[in-house]
Amino acid sequence: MTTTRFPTTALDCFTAANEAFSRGYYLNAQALYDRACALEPSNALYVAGRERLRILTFGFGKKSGGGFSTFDAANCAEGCCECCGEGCCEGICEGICEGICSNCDGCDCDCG
Amino acid sequence: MLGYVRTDRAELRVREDVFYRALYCGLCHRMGKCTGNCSRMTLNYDFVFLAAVRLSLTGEAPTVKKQRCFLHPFRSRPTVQACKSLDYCADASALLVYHKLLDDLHDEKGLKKARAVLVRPWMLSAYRRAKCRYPALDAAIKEHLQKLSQYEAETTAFGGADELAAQFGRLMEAVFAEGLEGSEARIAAVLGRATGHWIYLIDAADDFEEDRKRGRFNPYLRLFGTAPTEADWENLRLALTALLCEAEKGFALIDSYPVPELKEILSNILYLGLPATAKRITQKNTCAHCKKETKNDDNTVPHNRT
Repeated sequence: MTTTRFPTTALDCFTAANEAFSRGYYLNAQALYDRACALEPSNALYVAGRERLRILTFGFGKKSGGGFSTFDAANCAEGCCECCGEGCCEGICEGICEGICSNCDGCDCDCG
Repeated sequence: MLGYVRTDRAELRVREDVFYRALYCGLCHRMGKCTGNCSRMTLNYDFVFLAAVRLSLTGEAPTVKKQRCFLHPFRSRPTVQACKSLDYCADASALLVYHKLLDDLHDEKGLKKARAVLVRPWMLSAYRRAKCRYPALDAAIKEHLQKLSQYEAETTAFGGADELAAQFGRLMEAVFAEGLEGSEARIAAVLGRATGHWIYLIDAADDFEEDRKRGRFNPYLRLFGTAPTEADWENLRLALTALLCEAEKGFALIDSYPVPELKEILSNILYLGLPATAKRITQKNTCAHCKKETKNDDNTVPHNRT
């Protein structure tokens, strides 16, 4: 049986994952983020990317007022900056969201 | 592939459950009238969901009356009466089922192919009636299913699962939005696309073990290999929830309902029914994986399933 064929470098995996995520191909994206993290486990950006899906689904089912359920969190790597509206990013946002989160001007959260 | 979009019945109020059953019975009756009694055998919950969405978007106020049928000849049951949305769902169901049969005839072997050969003549009349009313939808379904078959044959890289599921999502988008206009069409398209994507992924997960044993096509065999781990199934659960987040956007845009039960039924399906189905199927695969591990390795502590 043929096995999965991923891009060979961590950066290629990460780039492909971001593209897949923006297209709504969440399963592919998660597999690619996992692969990028496996190739470079110490890279915080890749780890943050792997958590995107978990953060996106964090607010599922919450009523409006929590702010998360109708907000497209696909562009935001973490859930603590004001545009996302709630929650704590659990320490992964330090300096990361400026590179990923295109909906806000950086993160003022106090976590981590 | 169909029949996964259900309510969590235990969480419905009695009047909502009665209305949901009435919708089911109403759709069955309309399938008998619009596409013939043979097509009633293909009734499934996914089209009840479609009927609920269409009723909510078009604002048609459904009327419920008690009726008997050949399966329940002695006790009459509440049944939603004829309306455009139910008639459309009956026709859409006939079209989709017939094209699925053609697909099975072409791709399947053994019992599934034999079943398709036997059932096809019975569904032909239903298909012709529906095609007369919705020729554009018939062409769209045919085109999308052909593309899906083509993708299944061609896709070799990791991208297989989501690309295939997205293609099925586009098919369901066409089915949901047919005949609607403006914001109704856009909301229906969002719901159809997300639901179709979700259905394809969950159906592939449900069939995974059997497909693996029989050497049939399954997108997860390409993505995860023959021995997916618990982390793989957890990723699938997250992806399925993310798709429900997409569907939630469409659901949140429906601002009024002709009857309040429709809102509660759709909410139950989206927030309770679909996640429960996803959890059941992914846990079934996780448990199958765990059984294989403990069976093969007698010296390790049994796998702790949380």
